[in-house]
Amino acid sequence: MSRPSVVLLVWAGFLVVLGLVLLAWTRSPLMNGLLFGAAAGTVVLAVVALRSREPRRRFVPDVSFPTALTAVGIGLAVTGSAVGTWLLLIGSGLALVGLAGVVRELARA
Amino acid sequence: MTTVASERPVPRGLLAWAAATDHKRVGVLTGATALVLLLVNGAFALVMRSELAWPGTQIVGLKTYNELFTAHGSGMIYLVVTPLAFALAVYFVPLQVGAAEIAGPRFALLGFWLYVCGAVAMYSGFLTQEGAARFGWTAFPPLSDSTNSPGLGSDLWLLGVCLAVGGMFVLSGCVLATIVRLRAPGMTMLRLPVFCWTMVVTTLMTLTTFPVLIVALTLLELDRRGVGVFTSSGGPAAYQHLFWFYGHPVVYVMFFPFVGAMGEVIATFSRRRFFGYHAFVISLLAFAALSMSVWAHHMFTTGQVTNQYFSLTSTLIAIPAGIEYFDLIGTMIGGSILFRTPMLFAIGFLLLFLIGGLSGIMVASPPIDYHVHDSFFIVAHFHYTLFAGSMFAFFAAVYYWFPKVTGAFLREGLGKFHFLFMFVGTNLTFFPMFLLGEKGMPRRVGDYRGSDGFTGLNLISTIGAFLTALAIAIFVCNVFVSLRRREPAGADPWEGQTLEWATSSPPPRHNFDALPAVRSFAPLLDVREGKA
Repeated sequence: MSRPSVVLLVWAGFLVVLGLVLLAWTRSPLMNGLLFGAAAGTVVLAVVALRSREPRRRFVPDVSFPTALTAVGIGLAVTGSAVGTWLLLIGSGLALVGLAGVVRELARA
Repeated sequence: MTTVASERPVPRGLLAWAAATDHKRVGVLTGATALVLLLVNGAFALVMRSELAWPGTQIVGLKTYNELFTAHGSGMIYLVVTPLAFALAVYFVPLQVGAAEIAGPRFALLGFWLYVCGAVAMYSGFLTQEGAARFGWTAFPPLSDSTNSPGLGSDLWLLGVCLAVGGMFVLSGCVLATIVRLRAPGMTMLRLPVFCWTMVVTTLMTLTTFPVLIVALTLLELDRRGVGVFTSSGGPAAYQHLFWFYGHPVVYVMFFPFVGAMGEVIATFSRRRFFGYHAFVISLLAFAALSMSVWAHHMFTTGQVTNQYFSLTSTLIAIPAGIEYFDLIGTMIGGSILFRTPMLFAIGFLLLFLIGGLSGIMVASPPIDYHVHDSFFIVAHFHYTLFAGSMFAFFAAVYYWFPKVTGAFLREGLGKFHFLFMFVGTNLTFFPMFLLGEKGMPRRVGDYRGSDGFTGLNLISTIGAFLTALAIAIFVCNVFVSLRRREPAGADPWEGQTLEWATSSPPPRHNFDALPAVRSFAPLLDVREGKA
């Protein structure tokens, strides 16, 4: 339990046990799939935690306007899918400009 | 990856705050936004309670009432209580684990802005011609399909929820990655502070269930555009499974972080080390796993689920919950308790959440659930857990950590008035709802007949709601007064036990100049007791 990946695996184990008990009552693919899917997702997280290396030091600016712009662009694009193509295009454009800015920030880091 | 401090001075101004990558600023922004939305959704609640005070429609029509309860319910869950929990986590988890930064600071900023965009989209439905969504926070089809709920407002609500929930998903990834990768030397998992442990299980639930809701709502939106996803005979039940697989764990996403904060408050103000730490950790993991397996107890009355299994798991939850309660109370026993405002709210939380929890065990039993399903009894139950529970704990956390965030104390006298009015107001508002539900008053109705016998209890409930609003107004005044006429707090005004109290108030950009040795989950208490 002293390592994060073990904690995640213990939790995934709990979910598997609960999923197996549910199997005794129902074979519904949806119900069982949800529980076992969550367990599988947690195992993936545990593997990622296990394989993560020593963090690399990297410069991050105190303010990142491109990141905020990307988020607002995504928000407008998603909303635009209901409001109209014009908003979808504006949002997508802003998100792309924002992403380009983030890439530029990363390249300069 | 870790981040390196910028050599430049910390940028000031609104724009610099809006695009800040510092986890403390992102945490404050998220918390402030959620508090503003708490006031908005609270105002919706006051309008609804005023409407229900007497029979007949006096203030708003039934259509507007439906829009208000949808906006109130969904706003409180998606935009207020969950973000408040993550605001605390984004601010304090890096400090408590001794990290200089949050993992993925840009992602944290992205998560905040997605949340804001989601909130704007959800509320913008009120500006559309057909009005806002009016199908409840659950959006069950066929009520939420394009035939029964036509109009752009419903689409904006669905997409807004996806954005807001997506934002919380991103924030939770940052919090978990911080705990996994950025802990200070010596901070093993079994030396994590109690609040961090509650965030471990909270983020696990978030990462495994929030995507399910996003998928469900996206499919529902496609349904509204004629794709035909939930239109078959089993479609509505399938949607409910997907929704409640998110919808029940999110109750604990809105609960565990506040229990963790309570653990910190109770240990600090009892002047004792947290009692039963290892049992607490194991019970948290079991509690979180069980909470993932109870979702269909919301569907007992559909006849589409295996009631035995879901009743069993729902009842079993009482065991880990009991262990956690036992640990919190055990921490107080033998301690020299200081009854400062944070501790009062913590004790209020313990008392009131117990009512919410025990009524939850009652409705875990299908026969009782059949009787009270969709009645005001359920409204009372979940308000005792989410408002009387989580919000009391949130205010305890605010009074506890405000000096760390701002460098100034909140006024103690105003805090005690805040607690008193809120305790009385909350019980006056929500306890009559148990009786109303038992008498058969259905939830989600904007009117009733005078002959139903609901008037007296509804009037009491409305008076309680206004008393609670007064309590919140006192809190807002307290914040303004305390920030304008500051009573300076030092680095560790409460004699705290965890690492956030080892740095200045407010902390510098990269959190720590030096860290004490970490030999337990209470490193500062170790230093005070000469164990470090």
